[in-house]
Amino acid sequence: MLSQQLINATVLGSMYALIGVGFTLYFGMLNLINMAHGGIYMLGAFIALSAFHVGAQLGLPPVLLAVAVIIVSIVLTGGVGVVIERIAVKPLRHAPPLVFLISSMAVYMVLEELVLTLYPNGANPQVFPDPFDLKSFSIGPVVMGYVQVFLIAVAVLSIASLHFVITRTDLGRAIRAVTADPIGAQMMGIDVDRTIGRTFFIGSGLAAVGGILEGMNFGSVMFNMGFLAAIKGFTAAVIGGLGNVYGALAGGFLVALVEVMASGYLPGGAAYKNVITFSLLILCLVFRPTGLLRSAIH
Amino acid sequence: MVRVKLASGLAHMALWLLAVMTLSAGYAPAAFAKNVVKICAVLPTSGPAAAIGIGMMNSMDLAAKQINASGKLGDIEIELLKLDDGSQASMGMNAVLKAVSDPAVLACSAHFNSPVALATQDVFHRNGIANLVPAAIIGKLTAEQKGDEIFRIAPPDVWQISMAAKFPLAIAGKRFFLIDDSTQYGKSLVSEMEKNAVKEGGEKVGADSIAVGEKDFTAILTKAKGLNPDFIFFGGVTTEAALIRQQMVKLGIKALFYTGSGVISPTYISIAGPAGEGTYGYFYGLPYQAYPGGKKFVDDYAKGGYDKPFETYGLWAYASIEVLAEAAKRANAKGTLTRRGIIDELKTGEFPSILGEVSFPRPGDIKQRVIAYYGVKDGKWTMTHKSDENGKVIKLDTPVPLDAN
Repeated sequence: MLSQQLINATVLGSMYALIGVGFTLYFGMLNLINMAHGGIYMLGAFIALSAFHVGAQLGLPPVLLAVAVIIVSIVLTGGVGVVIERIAVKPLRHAPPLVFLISSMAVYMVLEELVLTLYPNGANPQVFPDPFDLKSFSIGPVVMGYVQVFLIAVAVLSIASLHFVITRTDLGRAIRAVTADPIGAQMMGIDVDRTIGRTFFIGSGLAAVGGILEGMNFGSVMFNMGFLAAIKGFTAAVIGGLGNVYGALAGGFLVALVEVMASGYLPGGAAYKNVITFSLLILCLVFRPTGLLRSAIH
Repeated sequence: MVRVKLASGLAHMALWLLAVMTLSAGYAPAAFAKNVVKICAVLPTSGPAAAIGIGMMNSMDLAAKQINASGKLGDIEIELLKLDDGSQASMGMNAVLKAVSDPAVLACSAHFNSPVALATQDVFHRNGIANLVPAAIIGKLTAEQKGDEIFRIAPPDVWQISMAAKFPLAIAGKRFFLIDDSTQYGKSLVSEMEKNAVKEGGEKVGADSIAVGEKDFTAILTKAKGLNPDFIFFGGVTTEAALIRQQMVKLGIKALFYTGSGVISPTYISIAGPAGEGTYGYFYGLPYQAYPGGKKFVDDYAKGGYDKPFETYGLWAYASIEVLAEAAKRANAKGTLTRRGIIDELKTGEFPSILGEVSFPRPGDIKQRVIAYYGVKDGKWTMTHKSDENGKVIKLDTPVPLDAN
């Protein structure tokens, strides 16, 4: 049973980690908390859902279709992220952080309302296809859906790509430089604007993957799914230390582990798992505002 | 200046006189021909249950039109006063207060949601006016009422569960795990299920609560799986039920998934997808074909030009108006066409309706009851079993799809 719960937590943690990374990237670079990120997460899932419907008419094999859909959604959602940066972030770069927080909430609401009104029958939950038809296998007492293996693989691949970009590429070096010292980076010839735009592309693309994972795992998506996901992702980023990419990843899995253990082992814990998670967030903000894992990983 | 005012005042008066004369000229013959009995229909035509509320309101509208057109009420005619309760107690209260303040309103058929019906019950009592509740099923609404004004065309929840608890024990086994959605509705459903199932020889192996809006239930389902129940009963509504069912299938849980009537809807099937197969729920209604007037109602509704379907409770809404109209007719024949007169008719009479003959013995709930069991088969809610009067579970020879339009 414990091993099953650990698998449950891993699947859930993948989603939280992927959305948490965006929060931490933006905060590290711009000192901004971007609440629009939850809207991006939801949008990624809906773009993928539309792509599924289009792709299903082309008659692609399901797994190939799922991969294609994820790529399409990353590219389009990343593009939307870049546009949002241009419209709602860049003009406010020198404004007080509170102004940006409000503007990002407005962007979140716009995204949510757009999907609610423009997507056919948008007020209701939408069925999200499972490319593996709910098939599962078991190793001893542990049962796993093929879709969950696929999701963990996608999450691991996304995180590995992020690690590669940050540590091994010019873009990654630029991101690290701008995060450490934007003025210094600019003096060294780094195009700060372009770096920030690309960071929004990466953060939004990863959030889209998170949204797709949620859709595939739970079989349905809804226009308001971004709100709770954003708070969970934000919690993951805070616990990991805002600005610390690996901290956010670890934070995502930690939040999931706490939730699953609370639901699985505390009597009546499932109804209170959000209370427990957000208490953790408050405790963290009060006692370790730099994050639980700051010293461990940095 | 003064003269101008006087002139315009006179002109106004003349206009008023003209208007009043025209109106009374137009109105008088109609009023002379038929005595209009107003029936208030208070349903959630906006808000979260709007689809169901609109379906019921349309069904009531159809009933009123057909009854008037048939001429069977003699020298009276019914008119619906349509009001919205938005599934909220406060809105329902305003609507009912407005309705009862109109002396021409002699009876009501109000509310889909139990909390709204509980909120307004005293208004009906204080004003001595009948409310034939078309759907809200909470037991104490009738059982604990102060007077005799509340009637209901649905069996109370407590009775439903006392029947429904026997079903999973008969088809799945004794060991059960309970999940509620932390709402009052879900919690009371689960506690009644526990009480009744234990009385029937069931054994509770565990229970847990979830929060509405949550999506990941794998942790508590993993816990449930370890306890190896024969069935899992869920007290809650569609979306969470569908997610629980999906995750049960993914975790390889073989136990029967059993829920209340709140889940029996096409939405459940579309969200749960293929995982929904084998889910069971109980409901106090039969597929519409099983009722004497069911087929005709469905056909007439289709011809009625309504742009929304009648949904799950259309038949009961239609029947409520039939009953109230018939009660008004009988009271009229005795010369007691008053609010009290209609209550007295409802308390003692048997009324023909599309559901068959119905009556409302104290405390006011429908006497003619049945509990049917629906399973998801090939993507459709299909009735496979029912309970007889003694609660014995009977398997149907041929399953009948619910066919919720």
